Amino acid sequence: MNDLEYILDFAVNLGGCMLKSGANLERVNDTMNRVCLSYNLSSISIFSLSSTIILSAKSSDNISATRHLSIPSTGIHLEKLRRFNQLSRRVCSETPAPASLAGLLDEAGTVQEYSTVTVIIGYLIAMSCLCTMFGGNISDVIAADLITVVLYWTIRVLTKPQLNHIITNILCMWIAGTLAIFLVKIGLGKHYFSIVITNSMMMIPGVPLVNSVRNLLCGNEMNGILEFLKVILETVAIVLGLVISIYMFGGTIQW
Amino acid sequence: MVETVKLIILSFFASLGFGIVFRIEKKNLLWAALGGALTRCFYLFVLSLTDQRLIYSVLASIFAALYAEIMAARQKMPSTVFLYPSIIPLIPGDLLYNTAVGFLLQDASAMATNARDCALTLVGMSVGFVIVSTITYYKRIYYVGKNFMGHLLQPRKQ
Repeated sequence: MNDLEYILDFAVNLGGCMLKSGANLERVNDTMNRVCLSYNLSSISIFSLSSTIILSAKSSDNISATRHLSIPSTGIHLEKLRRFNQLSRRVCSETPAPASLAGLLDEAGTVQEYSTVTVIIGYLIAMSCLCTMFGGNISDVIAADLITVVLYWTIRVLTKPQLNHIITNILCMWIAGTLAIFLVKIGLGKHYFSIVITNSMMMIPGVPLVNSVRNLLCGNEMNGILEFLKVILETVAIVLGLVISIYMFGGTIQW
Repeated sequence: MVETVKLIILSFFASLGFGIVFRIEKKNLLWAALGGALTRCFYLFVLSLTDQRLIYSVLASIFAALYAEIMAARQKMPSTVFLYPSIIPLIPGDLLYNTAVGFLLQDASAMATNARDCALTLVGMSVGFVIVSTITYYKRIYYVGKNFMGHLLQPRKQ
């Protein structure tokens, strides 16, 4: 591989890692552009969506190359994002040898993760507060927290075989809705809708929703439209799961 | 008054919880949670001045984005780390959910009301973010002076 290929590989993979960690598209493009400029590449061309990046550039000896990267799914991992951002700044200022760039990227992607228990506690804190804001009382908070733990494991199990997002959302919300009905029926939880709306917040893609509209206003219309459509479909799937659970078991409780 | 204080405290802990879920480093968790509480505080203040959803969404998101930019500069981190937890109190997840409920239950009036409110909030928030990011972008260029290429090549925070 020549230097140009090492640099493009690094830039496109860095962009992909940032997208996977929750960065918005304008920043990803800006970072890839700056990395290429710092190595004196010219004719830089970037096409990116939240699911794909195409980057091409020309070296000082007039050799052109292109890289295409597919990004199967994105999430939010702000500590990784911080490290990738730090790496991009370091690479732009120090311009290390192109062959060493891949190693630097692997190093930046290795972070100490929170334990599963800590993440579940994070969800429980957030869901308890949301449930109270949505008018739930203490028994509703307990019910919502129990369902949160079940949902956390269900989402983990269903996302491992890379099941379709829509199907995952329908299944998860069907489970959450059904559990909520039975918890209200046995007296643990009083306000059914406070509980289910709280649990749906665990799955409703709030940050991607805001980012999609932001993309529309910032000139990334294509990505904005695609992301917005994805968010809408996922939300409809969440509610569909809930509606199915109500149709199946809703008659067993008094509204 | 008690309700207001309760909402601010709940927003603090909700942002703290989501901060953990978003894997923010431990030392920055409290700053991220404070962003959520301050944004809620400012949101309630603006809400007491106007009932125009678009206006209070724009102002509250400007506040959240400014807080994120200031904290990012202070802690030398990407502003996104502080922005996401700070906007938790503003995200219209419940409105989107209610819109979908209205759609599936064929309740056209509830769906239209919730969809309108949700759209106004989202547009307001996005306009707020764009205003702040534009200001910070031109602020950087102003400090860099005419050396624009040099500015592009300079490492800078996200």
